[in-house]
Amino acid sequence: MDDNVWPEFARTIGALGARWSASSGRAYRLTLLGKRLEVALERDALAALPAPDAIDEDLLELACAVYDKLGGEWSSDMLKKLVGAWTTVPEDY
Amino acid sequence: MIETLPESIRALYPFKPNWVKSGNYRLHYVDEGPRRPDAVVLPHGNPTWGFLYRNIVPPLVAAGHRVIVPDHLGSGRSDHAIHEGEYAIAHHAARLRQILETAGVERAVFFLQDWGGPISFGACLAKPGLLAGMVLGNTFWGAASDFHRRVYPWRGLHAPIAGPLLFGRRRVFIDGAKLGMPKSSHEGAVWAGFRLPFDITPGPGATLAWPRAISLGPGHPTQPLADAIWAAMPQMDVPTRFVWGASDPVFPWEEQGLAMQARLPRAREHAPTIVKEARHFVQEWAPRQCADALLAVAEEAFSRKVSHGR
Repeated sequence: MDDNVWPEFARTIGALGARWSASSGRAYRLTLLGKRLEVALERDALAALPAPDAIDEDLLELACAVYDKLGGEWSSDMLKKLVGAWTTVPEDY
Repeated sequence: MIETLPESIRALYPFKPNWVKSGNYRLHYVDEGPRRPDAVVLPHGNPTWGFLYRNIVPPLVAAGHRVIVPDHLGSGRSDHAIHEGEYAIAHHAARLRQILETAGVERAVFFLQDWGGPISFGACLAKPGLLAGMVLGNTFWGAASDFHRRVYPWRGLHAPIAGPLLFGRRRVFIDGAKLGMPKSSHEGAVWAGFRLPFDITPGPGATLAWPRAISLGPGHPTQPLADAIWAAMPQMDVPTRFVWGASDPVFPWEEQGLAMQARLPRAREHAPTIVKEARHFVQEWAPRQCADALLAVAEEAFSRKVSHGR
């Protein structure tokens, strides 16, 4: 859930539609109400929940898809580079 | 809320907890030294908590000062909010004011670093006479720096979808705080102390709300406060010093430091202490210089009050 979806993101997320499928095969319902976005995994009520890391991979893929759709400075490559930059202390630090 | 600290962290941060109820939430603060209406107040920024001041509190208390270290909502030992809107900077400022009023603090010398700046300035705007002095270190007034305007490496980190994932479940930003601290703080009990509040809470707490609260211009919710702080700075006629980390890409001295030095009436009375190797969390790199600057400002601020018979 995200309480604060910026306008340019709202347009792009809206363009993805109400349902988005990750490359893992899992599908998610996207519900955007005003500035609030809910991303809910579609699953059988009796099915086991995927591991949190697997969900995280899907969500990162969704974020990448949105960044690529936004274009310009926003891209999946930039997002991945950014995650690396914030989690790696340089050798010469 | 963290009722009890683990032994290894309490050994580094041995201060008795104090609590205040604010709406539905409990806020934690440290209150050391003699219970006087004059206090040195040490508010933290993002993504840290009062633990950042663990090496600065003792010399201040040893010098006879009362020292208050608040944990903002969503940080440290305080409760976490449910909705991002509850972390609006004006609300943080009101909660800080409430903590100080509950503690009976009437005049305060602040250490202003990161969001500790706008939150403390905001509290002082609403309570004339509260601000008795200040030491500024790697802070701002709520309006974006050049760094904050960039998609890489900043806005892309906390944007919708990526933000809750990276700040919450993945703790990327919390671990990224290492990039603002000396290597000696990157491991062991010290790093466990910094991570503790985020290891035991499921969401990102205030950490995600704060970057989004940096004003990018007119229309942003924080802009009115940033404008009010900027407008009030020339009237902040109180003892002022700077201890600034010179290796901080977020708030370079040449940008935020010089701008505030030119704006604050007593900012040029003393040369700034520029700590060459220090990055964003200057308290962690140079606690002794931070404490010394606070002691100098507090001595002037509080003794001036006595000498003027106020």
